[in-house]
Amino acid sequence: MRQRQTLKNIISQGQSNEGFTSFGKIVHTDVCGPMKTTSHGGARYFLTFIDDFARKIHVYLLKAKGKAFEKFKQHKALVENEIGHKIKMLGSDNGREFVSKKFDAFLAECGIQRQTSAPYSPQQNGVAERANRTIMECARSMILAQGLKLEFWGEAVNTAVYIKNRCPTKALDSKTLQEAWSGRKPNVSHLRVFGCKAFAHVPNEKRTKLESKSMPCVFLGYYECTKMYPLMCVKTKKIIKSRDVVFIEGSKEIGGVPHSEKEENVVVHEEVEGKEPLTFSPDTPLNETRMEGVQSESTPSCSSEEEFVVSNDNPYCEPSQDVLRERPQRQRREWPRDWWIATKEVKCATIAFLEEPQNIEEALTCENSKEWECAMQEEYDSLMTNNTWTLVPLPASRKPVSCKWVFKIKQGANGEVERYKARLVAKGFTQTYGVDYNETFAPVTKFTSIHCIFALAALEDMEIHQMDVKTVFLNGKLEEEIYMEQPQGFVHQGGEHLVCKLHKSLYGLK
Amino acid sequence: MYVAQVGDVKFFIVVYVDDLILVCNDQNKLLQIKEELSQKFEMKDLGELHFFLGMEVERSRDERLLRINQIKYLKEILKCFRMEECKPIGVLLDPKVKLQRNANGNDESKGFPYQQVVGSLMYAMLYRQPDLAYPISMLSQHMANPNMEHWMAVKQIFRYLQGTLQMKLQFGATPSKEILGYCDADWGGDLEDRRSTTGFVFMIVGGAISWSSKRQPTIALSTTKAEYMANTQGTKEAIWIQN
Repeated sequence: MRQRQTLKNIISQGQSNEGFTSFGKIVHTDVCGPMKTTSHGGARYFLTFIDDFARKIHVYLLKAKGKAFEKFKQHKALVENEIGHKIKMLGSDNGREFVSKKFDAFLAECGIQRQTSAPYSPQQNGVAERANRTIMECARSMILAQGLKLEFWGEAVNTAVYIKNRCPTKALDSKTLQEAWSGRKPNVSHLRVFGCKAFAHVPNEKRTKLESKSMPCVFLGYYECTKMYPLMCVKTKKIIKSRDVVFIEGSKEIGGVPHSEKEENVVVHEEVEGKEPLTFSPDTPLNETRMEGVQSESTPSCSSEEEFVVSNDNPYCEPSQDVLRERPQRQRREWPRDWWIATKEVKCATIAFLEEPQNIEEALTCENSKEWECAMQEEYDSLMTNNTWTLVPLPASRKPVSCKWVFKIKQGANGEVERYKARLVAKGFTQTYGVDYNETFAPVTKFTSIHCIFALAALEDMEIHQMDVKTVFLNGKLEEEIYMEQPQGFVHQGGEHLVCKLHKSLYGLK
Repeated sequence: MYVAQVGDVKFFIVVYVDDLILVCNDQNKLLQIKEELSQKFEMKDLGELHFFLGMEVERSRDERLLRINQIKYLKEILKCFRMEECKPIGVLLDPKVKLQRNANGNDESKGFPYQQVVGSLMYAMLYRQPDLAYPISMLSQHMANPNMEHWMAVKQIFRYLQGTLQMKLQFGATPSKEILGYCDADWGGDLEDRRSTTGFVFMIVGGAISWSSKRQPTIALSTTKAEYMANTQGTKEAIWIQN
């Protein structure tokens, strides 16, 4: 026995007692996480509850595992009110979040039995574990397929569950989970591709006459208790809710390809026709739970100002109906190419379109390499004519200051490229006080003086002109001996061991 | 800054690193000096002054007025801190809110670029905005450890700036070369250490040229003392300006 005992076949909790015919007999639960990335609302875990009879999944996002108890209480109240059947048994693993004095006391109080799996055999909690896997796989593929950031996992998980609940399953004889749960066929015509581009209509009250009527968003799933969609506004990065949304589902490419409204409509119709006759129902009861989960997702700083909520006149109206009813819009042909890229990174708008190389290698390999080369040559020539340095061998006791090329595109007032500029700068931070430099100085004037002079000039109607000294640093003669490495790309042939002894100052020098 | 006077011809040169402002009441003389400077150094003549260190200068010579605005700079910082679409507001600081030290050390505003914002506003304050002096001095006392309340105050300043973007600092409204100074102090305005705040403004030709709002370094025991200290500061500045 001691040599040959193996694990016994595992029968998971649900299967062990077959033929449950009512809701709430067993509720399976499990926590999944921690995720490395926190979601928008700061959640790192999610908690699932699965009814063994209807198999309907409820999911809650948690910031910490310890919150599982609260959520269970909430879930219990909700489910018992909704279905009218009490929860009779809770199946879970032995995790601390489920097995605690508080939790036990509560279960005892409500007369709920507990069924825990044996230690180290999560297989016994199979229903919940399998659901977790399905949800995670579904969420992962949605995020990957759309190239979304990982922090949207919360929305992805919610959406995965929402869809899963609207899918038929073998365990229920090809009925959908939602139907088994509520007795009504769910409507799926409002389903959209997760993470697709969407345009939320901006209500009249929120805009002026000439401002654009919609704002670009990313579609982030569904609310169970409201006929609105959660969307992330591309511009503000805030999560908003809107009922009036046009979806652009076809464009899978991250760059965003031109896409016409026609195709959109086709997709919608296919969806509608592809399924069995759809019942038009008010969907799930309104006190569903998902809402809560997603709400906690939206960033806390999201003030109510930014969030516009369109109140729905008719609460029993399907969102899809609204989408279909919407008048076909004019074709939108061209999307800015970097529409999506802009959403991915919060970039300062100043670094708009023009790429400036970071170092000399980049400059010489990028598409404007000719211009850059030219600019460097120009700078080098100007340094040479000004007699900035002479090449000498390095004295043994000294260390040369290194230098670097900096590239800049000078833009004119209208944003057009005025000229390409390369500048050789010394890495002044490698200098040591007392050895390479003693004194730093730049003439500046107090603002008070400037204001004063303006005042006088205004009074006496004087001329005010402005001048700009070119290459100021060349006017500063160096008193110290400073050695600098030869600039990259302009190393003297046959004199690689030499360094530049500076006569005049350079940018960056102290 | 260099000043020269030859007979009736007055000449000022203001140097700011590599930017020069030349002011002269005689056009020919000005051109001559420009010429001389250009021979000595390699220089670019930018003609009449329009834009200098982030401030735009506009003149109306018939009325003998000169106005400074910072629309471009302010727009840029609003954009940089993503407040370009904020709603304007007329109140700079909420009088009900007393900014206090972040005592319990919570770092809810850890991710905010508080220092950068205050820094950029301070630059704006130095050039054109005497009205920002007090809030900036309040905010910069909490540079190291801001909390949500301070951040809200910053946002309110942005909204105020949005509302006052087009306003300008004007010189030349009153044709008198007298320097006018005003100074005042509150008493024990700082709730934590009861120090008072000094403020002063100096005006010439109808425009403000120098302003400051500063927490006093010592605790004043009476309003008189606080005012007295304010006067000292003001006088120091006055002496400097006179010179």
